[in-house]
Amino acid sequence: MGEIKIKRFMLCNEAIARGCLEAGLDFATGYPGTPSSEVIDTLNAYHDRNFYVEWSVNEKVALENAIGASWCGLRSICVMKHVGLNVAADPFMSLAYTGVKGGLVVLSADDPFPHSSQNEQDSRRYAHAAKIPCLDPSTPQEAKDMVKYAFCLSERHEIPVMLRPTTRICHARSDIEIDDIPKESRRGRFVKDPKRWVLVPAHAKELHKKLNEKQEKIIEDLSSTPFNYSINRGETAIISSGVASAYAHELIPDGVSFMKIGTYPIDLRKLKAFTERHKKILVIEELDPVLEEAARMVSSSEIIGKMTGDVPLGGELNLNIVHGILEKNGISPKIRYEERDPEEGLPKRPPSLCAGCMHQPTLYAIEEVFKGDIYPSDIGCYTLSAHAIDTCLCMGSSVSIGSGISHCEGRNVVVTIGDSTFMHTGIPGLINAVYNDAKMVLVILDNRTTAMTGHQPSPGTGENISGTCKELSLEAICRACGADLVETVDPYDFVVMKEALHRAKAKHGVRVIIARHPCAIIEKRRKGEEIPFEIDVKRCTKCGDCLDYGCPAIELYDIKPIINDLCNGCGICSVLCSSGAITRRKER
Amino acid sequence: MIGDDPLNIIITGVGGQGNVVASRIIASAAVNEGLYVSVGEIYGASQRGGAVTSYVRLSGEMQYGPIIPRGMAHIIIGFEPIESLRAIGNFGSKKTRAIINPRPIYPVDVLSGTLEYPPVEEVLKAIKELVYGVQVIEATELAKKAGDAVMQNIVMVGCVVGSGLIPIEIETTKEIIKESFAKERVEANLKAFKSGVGEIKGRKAV
Repeated sequence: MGEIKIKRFMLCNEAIARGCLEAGLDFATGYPGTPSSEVIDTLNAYHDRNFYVEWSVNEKVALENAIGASWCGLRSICVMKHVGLNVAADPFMSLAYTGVKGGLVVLSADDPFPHSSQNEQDSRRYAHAAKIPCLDPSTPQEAKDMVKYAFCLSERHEIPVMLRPTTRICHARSDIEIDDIPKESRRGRFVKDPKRWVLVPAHAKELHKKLNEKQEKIIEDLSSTPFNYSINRGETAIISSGVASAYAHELIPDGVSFMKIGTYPIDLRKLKAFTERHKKILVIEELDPVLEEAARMVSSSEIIGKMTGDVPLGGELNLNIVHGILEKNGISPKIRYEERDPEEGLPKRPPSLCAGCMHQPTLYAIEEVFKGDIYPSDIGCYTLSAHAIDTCLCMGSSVSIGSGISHCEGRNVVVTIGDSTFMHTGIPGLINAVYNDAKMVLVILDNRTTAMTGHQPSPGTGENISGTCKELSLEAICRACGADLVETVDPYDFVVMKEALHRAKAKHGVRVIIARHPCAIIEKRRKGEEIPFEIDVKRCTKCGDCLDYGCPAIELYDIKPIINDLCNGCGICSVLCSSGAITRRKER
Repeated sequence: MIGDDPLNIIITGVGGQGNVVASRIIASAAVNEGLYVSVGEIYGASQRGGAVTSYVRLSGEMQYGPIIPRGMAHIIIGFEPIESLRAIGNFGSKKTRAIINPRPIYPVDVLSGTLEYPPVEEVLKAIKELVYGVQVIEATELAKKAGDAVMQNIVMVGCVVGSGLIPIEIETTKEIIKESFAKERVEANLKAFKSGVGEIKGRKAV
C-alpha cells in the first residue's frame, strides 16, 4: 500500500544472498563454481553473521551437510553450478523422498552458451526427475523474491526446492528492493523419526507415495505466485521462461499473447487453457525444450519451438535471436533491429594463464620430460595452458581417466589436477589407481587456492571460509592412499622440477609429485610486485624458446622478443634461455 | 526523463582493465539518479586477459534485460582499440558515440608473433566510419599523471560523465567513487575522474 521500498544496486548473486538473509537463513554450504560462487562469498561477508556457512569439499558433501541442518529444523541453502548437481545427484534424488524439516533450497546455476562450463545441461530436468519444485528467475529481483518464497514453500510441503538461475541472471546487476534482516539466530534439534530419515526399501515405498501425493498441492501453491502470469490479446502467443522471457517481453508487440512460466511442475491445466485460446504458439526458452514438451503434451494448437527447428537447441538466446524467431514466424517485433555484420578478422583474445602462473612451468616441464606421452588433466585454470593438457571432462576425472588409459596404453600417463579439484573428487581415483595397480604419475598443481572461481580456500590451504583452520597435508593424504612415491617441489625452481619428474619417470607404480607455489594473483596481493626481467637484445639469438613457453609477459616486438609490463619476476624464462640473454632488471 | 530509453551503454576492454569497476560506478550513480538500471556481465575470463564486455542499460520507465541487442548501443566506452572495434562492429551504428583509449594490449597470439595487431590508426579510422562520433582519449597517460596507469578506467568514466551523454551528474558519480575504494585510494581515483571530466570538457562535442 504505497510503501516505498529501499533499493540497493547489487549483483543478482548478492541479491540471492540478501534474500536468504531476509528469510532468516541458518545454514549455507556450497562448492565454488561459475556462475554461482558469489552467493556463498556474499553470505560469508555479511557483517552480522549469525548463521553457519562453509565451503564444502564437493557438492555431494555440501548438500548432505545442508540436509543435516534441515533435518534439525533449520533453514539451509546449498549452492552449486549445474554440473555440481551431478556430483550431488545421489543425495538429491533420495532427499525428495525423505523430504525436509527446515526449508532447504538447492541452488543449481545453469550456464547456457556455456561461458565457463563443460556442458549445457538443464537443471530443470533434475528437478523433474526428483519430483521437486523448481523456480526459474527471469530477473535479479525475481531471483531474490523466489529464494525467500522457496524457503516457505519448502517448509509447507516438507520438500527441497530448487532455484535455477542461469549465468545471465546470476551475473546481472540491478537495483533491488530490500527488506529487513531478522536478528535472532536459532539452534537446531534433530527429532528421531526412522520412518522418514532411514530410507530402507519398506520406508522408501511409503515415502514415494507421499511424494507423489504432494505434487498437486505444490502446483496449487505455485499457481498463486507472481512468478507465472499470462496476458491474452490475440490468436498468436509466446510462452517463455527465465531470461528469455525478459527478451520476449522487450520485443513482443501488442496483439500477441504472452505467458511467462517461472515455476515447475508446470500447471498443465492452466497451460492447456492458455494454449487452446491460441492458434499458434511460439515457445522461447533456453537449454532443453521443457516448456515446449509440456505445451505439446496438452495442446492441439500449432507449437513452434526447438522441436520445429525455430529456436536453437544449444547456446544462449539473446534479443537478436529472439527478434529473428519472431520475424520468421510472422510477428513484427516492437523494436526493429538492423542486420549487422560483426567485425571479422580482428585477432581473437581468449583468456590465458597469468604471467608467473605456477601451472605453466609445471606443465612445460612435464611436456619436456615426458615428450610424446599422455597428459590427462582436469577442471581448473590449467586448461588455459597450451602445454600438456590432453583431456578435461569433469571434476576429479583426470586421475581415473589416467589410470584407465594406463591399463590400455604403453606410453607414460602423466595426470595433472589442481589442489582443490583433487580434494573434491580426485582422492577416490587415486585410491582406485593404487588399489588396481595402475602405472602413472600424478602431479598435483597446488597453487594454494581455488583460483578459477575467485580464490576460495580449500582443505590443503589451512584456511576455511571463516579463517584459519587445520591444514590437511596433501603429502600425508597421498601416502595414506598408498602412492609409491610422494615428492613436493616448487615449480618456480624449474631445474629441480624437471629433476623430480625424471626421478618419477624412472620409478614404477603410482607416483605423486606435488608442485607447490601460490597462485600468481594471490602472491602479488600478498607480497607486492617483484622486480621484472628483461631481454638483452645483443645476446638474444632469436631462437624463440622463450616465446614457445607462452607467457603473456613475453612478446614479439619487431622480430625480437621483449618482456612487457605484465612480468611478475618469476624468472622461468631466464632458465629456458640458452644464450643467457634474460636477466632481472637492476630496478623497476 | 532521458533521451533514448533505454539508454544502452557498452564498456569493453581486456580482463584486468577494470571493466567491472567502471560499470559498477556508472550504474550505481544512475541508481542514485533514480533510474532503472540493468547491467550484464560475464565473469571468469575477466582476470585472465580475455576480452570483457559490460552492458549497462538505463531507463526512466522499466527494468530492462541485462544484454544489449546488436547495433543498438548509444554509447561505447572502449578501453582498448581492437576490443572497441569488435564491440562497435557488433553493437555500434551511425547513432553510436564512442569514447576510446587508443593504447593497445596485445592478445596472446599477437605476443607470440602468430597474428598481427592491426595499426592503431587504421583501427581508429575503421571505428570512425562505423559510428556517429569518436573521442580518442589518452586515458592511460592521464591516469599515469593522476598517479597510476590502472586508473584509466576511472579517467574514462570521467570522460563519459563529463560529456553529458548520460543522465548522471558529476557530483553523484564522485560520491559513488568515494564509496567504491579503500580510503587511501579515493583521492587518486577522484583525481583520475576529474582529469577525465576536464579532458572531455575541453573538447568540441561530437
